[in-house]
Amino acid sequence: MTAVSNLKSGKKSPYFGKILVILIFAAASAVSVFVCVGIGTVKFSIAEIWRALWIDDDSTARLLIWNLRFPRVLVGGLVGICLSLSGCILQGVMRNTMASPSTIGVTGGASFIGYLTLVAFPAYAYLLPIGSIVGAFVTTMLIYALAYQKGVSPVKMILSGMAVSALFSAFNDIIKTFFADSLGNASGFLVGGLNGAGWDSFRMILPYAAAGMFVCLFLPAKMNILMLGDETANSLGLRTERFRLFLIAVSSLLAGAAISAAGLISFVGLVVPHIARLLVGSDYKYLFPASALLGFTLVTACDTVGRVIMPPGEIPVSIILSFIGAPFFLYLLRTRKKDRE
Amino acid sequence: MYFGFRGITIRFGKKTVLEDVSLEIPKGKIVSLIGQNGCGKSSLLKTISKAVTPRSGSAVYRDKEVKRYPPKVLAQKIAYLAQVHTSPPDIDVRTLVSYGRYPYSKFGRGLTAQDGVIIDRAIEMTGLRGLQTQALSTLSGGERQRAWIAMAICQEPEILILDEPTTYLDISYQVEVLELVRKLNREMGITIVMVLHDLNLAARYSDCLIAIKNSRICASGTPREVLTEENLERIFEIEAQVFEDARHGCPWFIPIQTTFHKGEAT
Repeated sequence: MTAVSNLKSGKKSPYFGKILVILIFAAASAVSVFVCVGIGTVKFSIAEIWRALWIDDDSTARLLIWNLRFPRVLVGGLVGICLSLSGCILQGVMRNTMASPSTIGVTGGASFIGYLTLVAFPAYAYLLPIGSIVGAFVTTMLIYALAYQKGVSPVKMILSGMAVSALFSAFNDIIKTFFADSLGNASGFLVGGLNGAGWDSFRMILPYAAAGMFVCLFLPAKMNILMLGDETANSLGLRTERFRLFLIAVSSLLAGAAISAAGLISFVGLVVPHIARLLVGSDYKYLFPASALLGFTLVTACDTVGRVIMPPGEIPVSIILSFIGAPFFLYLLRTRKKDRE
Repeated sequence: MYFGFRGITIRFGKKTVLEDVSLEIPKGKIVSLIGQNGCGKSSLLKTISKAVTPRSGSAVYRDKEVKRYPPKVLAQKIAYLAQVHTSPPDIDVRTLVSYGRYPYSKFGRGLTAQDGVIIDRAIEMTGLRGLQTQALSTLSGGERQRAWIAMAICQEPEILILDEPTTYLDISYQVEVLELVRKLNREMGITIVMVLHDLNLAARYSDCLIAIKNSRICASGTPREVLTEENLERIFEIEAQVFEDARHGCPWFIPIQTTFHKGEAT
């Protein structure tokens, strides 16, 4: 429809800027792959990276790039995409821009069921994402039930999120203490971070992440209608209750997949949708791709910073992100105006 | 019955808001619900947007309970504008108006050229042409209300329901909105059902008034039949003098005093 009206008026599309932002984010994601693969104790040029990605020989470059750094970047990128999309969806479901997997305690719940899965089936690490996804779903439903009354009150949401997080982290500590032996096999999930994330992790979460991303392609129109409030959305013919339940399932799928690969990574799901919203607005048609690409770039970049900043040691990506995310969260709490009505 | 309500009872907790209310809306007319705050007039309309679930009874469209229609099909027939609108602040007018085409959307398909034509027409009718790329948050209250009405027009409804469309607006915008509503009725044949607070405006712009008091309909008919001195005292607890406007033939009134402390006064 915009195309029609723009042809008529002969003006440049008002959506041009938004599309440009998305293209820039896409370029940044592509660049971040090469930069993040190239940087480290051993540095590689783009030509070397390109060669190592395609030619399988026994060189150090191939070993370092293909077996270690490249899969790690991919896992980080996937985790970033999943958390960002999950945050975007949750903000729509709760109709509240303070919602994200970490602020409402989804990460805690997902890890808890994840731990239980590992303890119960120590030999089947591939069940971990399913456990996390179930955990994420249960927690989101819980928070939703606790905080929702015709729109989620931010205070209730954050407080119940904190309470639920605290509870689950207590459970998690108990499990980690008493079942340390059964938890041997999922390093990223336990420590929180991408250290050691390789092709295994990538293959483990890819199906869930891909399914979640695919579903997101079909959500924007309905998400936009949902943002008009339940009364209006209902009278436009959207089955709001059913759609919300579906959205909670999709966001859990995405969050659970990310958490099972990288454990507790806070703030991506909050900060990324926020920055994207500032740049492309709240139309989900633009918000989803912008968030996904920004999430990809942010997580891979932060992981690389953590990897190279204090050699030979490594700072987990979650810590780097907290350094950026926590002040940003406080800033939001202070400046957030009543942005509806 | 073309459109109306059958045996609606609404309770909030123990409080009975409406008791067995049945009401038929004549096709092609402008009908206003009036009554004091909390009398249940908005709640009655909210049974259509599912914001209120009646204890018993249902809204009826073409002899069928509205909940028996698939939601999108119903949204092509009945448009509903809530009293308080929520939307992301940055969406522009045209985008908001285009959401009115949602009931006609098919899975995985964007807006068609025909949708574009209908959106253009709605924007034209509501006089928003120059504002269509502006963000909703930059508009005045009256302009914003017109944008929401334009969205409802895009649903191409037979019936438009408005819950207090003039609340929070300056008087000039109140009149503007009601003029627009009447234009939709006269030119497009849309049946209008609305809740209005201002009785003089309700009398001026409605074909039919329905007054609700003590959980029941206590008066209905043309403005001249409903807006009488006796009814104003009975329903609204005011003593008032009612006049008739020669130009439009509609009644209007000037309040004199409230009746609930009539005994104490003078």
